[in-house]
Amino acid sequence: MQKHRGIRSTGIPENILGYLMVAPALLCILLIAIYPVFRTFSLSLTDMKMQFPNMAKYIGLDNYISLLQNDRFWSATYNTLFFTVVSVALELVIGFVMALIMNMPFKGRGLVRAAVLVPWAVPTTISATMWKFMYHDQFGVINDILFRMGFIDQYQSWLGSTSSALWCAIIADVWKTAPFMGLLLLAGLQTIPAELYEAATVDGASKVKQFFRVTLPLVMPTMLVALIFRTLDAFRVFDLIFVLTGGGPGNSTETLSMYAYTTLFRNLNFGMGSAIAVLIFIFIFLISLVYIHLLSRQND
Amino acid sequence: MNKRLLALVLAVVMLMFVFSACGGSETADNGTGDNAAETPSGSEETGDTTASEQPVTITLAQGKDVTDATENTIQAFETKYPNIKVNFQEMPSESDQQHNSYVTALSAGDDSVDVYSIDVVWPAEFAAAGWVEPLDDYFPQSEREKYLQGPIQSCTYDGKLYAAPFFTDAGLLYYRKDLMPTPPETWDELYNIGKQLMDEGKVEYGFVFQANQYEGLVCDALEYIHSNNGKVLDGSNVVLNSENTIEALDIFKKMLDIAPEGVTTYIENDSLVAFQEGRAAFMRNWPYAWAVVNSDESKVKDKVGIAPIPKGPKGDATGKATLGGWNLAINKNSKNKDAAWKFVEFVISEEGQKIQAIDGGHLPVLQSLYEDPDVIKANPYFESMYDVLINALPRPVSPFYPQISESMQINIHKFLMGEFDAKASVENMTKEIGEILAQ
Repeated sequence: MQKHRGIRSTGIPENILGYLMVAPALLCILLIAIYPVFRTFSLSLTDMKMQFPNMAKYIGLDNYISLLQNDRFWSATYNTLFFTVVSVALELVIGFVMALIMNMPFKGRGLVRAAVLVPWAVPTTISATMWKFMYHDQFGVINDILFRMGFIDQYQSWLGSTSSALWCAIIADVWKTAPFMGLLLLAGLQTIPAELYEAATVDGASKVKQFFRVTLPLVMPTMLVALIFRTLDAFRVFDLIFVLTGGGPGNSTETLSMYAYTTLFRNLNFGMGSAIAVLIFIFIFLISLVYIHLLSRQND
Repeated sequence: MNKRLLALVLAVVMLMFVFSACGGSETADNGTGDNAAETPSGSEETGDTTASEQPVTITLAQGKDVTDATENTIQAFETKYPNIKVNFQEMPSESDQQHNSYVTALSAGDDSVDVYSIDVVWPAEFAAAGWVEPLDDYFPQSEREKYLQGPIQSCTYDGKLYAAPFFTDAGLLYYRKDLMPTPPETWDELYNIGKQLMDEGKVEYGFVFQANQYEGLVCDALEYIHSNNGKVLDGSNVVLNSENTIEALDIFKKMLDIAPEGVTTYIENDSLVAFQEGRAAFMRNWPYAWAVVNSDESKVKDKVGIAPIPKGPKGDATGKATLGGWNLAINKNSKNKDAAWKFVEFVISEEGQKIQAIDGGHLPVLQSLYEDPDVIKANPYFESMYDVLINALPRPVSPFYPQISESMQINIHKFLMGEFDAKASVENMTKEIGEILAQ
């Protein structure tokens, strides 16, 4: 019974000591995670405006009600979801192809693995500025290439058209984050023992069948984790679109994060801005729940 | 054993991170705070000249100045007032970023900065929030008359003056004087000349301007509205919904015909590049572009003239440029308001304004300087700016200006993109701005 003689000698009961030892960590979490969330939520129930900080009063769910009736909010939600679903899906497919290639033995594989990460290592504001130049309607390299190849008969304003602007953002995002997805998936691929493929070959499974029966199921847990990362990141997209279009044209590329930012920091409407932030939090929470559910089913 | 060591190392690293993060912000706060608090005692080198006054240090926060103007102003001021030291806190040049950090500091009652250089559209917001000191007692009416009235108006909120004009800026029409004898006086003339030059193949585009969805779109759009006798606010009433405004917006949209297709993504620099490459007959831009179009890299060097913004069919005798520029405001929590005012007073005095104009190329707010030979010698084009500046109008003065601007940006851009017509755009803005002001 007296195994932990050293601890017992302090005279503090073991369970209390346990709590004491995790207390600093809990306190940290409370301070840096729970408190801001709670504070944002309580702000979202007021009509706090920085221009008139003393006139703030409790207004219940009014901010949420007016948001849910606001077309701009729904259009931002739609843009965010569209951006998230399309870009993450493309990143998954392209990242998977990259991972499969990088997993094959060939000369200079280490170099390729490192080089492929370069887009991901470039800070987003910089890569966004770069893409902005590339999309430029007068001097953009994309117009130049497409024009020379005969796909377009005159230079296009890619960021100036409501039908193409969001796609431009998606392409820039896929370029930047597909390598990241690829590397995560590569890690998953490397955990698959070679014997499984040998056994499958012996059993006469084709390469395609091997991919669907061996590779895909075994890489699934890694893939889900990679998808969580990317979905949550894509859902909060801000800097890329902020630099690329600033929300235009005709507000057709505004995302929820941008809407929250403008409301909070440009308009100083802290009540409403906090309400948007809380809704983003809820959306992200729901997405995480779905993924966690999928992951736990995987493990069963 | 190894794992335990690794865990220990990681724990130490994490702790260091936590402490350095906390410590970092604390020292940063103290750093700025100290400057203000320390000054009354940190006195050895100053003082002495006027024994009665305690030497003080004040802090000026201003966006990055690429010229020597700020430094020279501070030097001249410190020579004149040896008891006051000015500490220059350089801010990012992006006005949005300055706004963020000023709002964060001021709303927390920070007193580390005494004088803020603020964008011409912020005084009402800062005044309503009670962040800046009213200057009526310092800056009497008789003095104010010597200054350009547009900038003074931008500093006035609810009948009180909350800032002093620092330097100014206004929209201009740049035209190719090698392609036309005189600049157009109306938007229609501009359109026709531009179209004709395009048809003749002399230029690729008639007109380049700023029509991205951002603050500059409001500046451009207001020039059409104001030059056609339209108005956004009358006091606290929204008077946007008028024939004049609708007509003005239709003229604005018509200009897209003679502009590059991507003009709805253009900010100042995009239009400047197109114009400087000789691709366009006209450009709407700020005075800063003058030096660029006349630089050696420019293909239109010495082929460019400047003219006031054209007027609309229902407009007055001249077009109305949108006012830009910066104002100086004094922090309400400043511990050295009198010293801070001394500095502001110096900056807007003839001496201070001359430094800004000659060393910084900034348009002075003091009217008399537009006839000053030194100033004109340094910036010959300033002479023709006076007429533009006395007719320039500020953007709507309201503590909710950012929201008003946002509503205008979205609704005007949607209109330019063809989502709805000018009437619907004006009706939307009127409704939204009404709601913004009613809050």
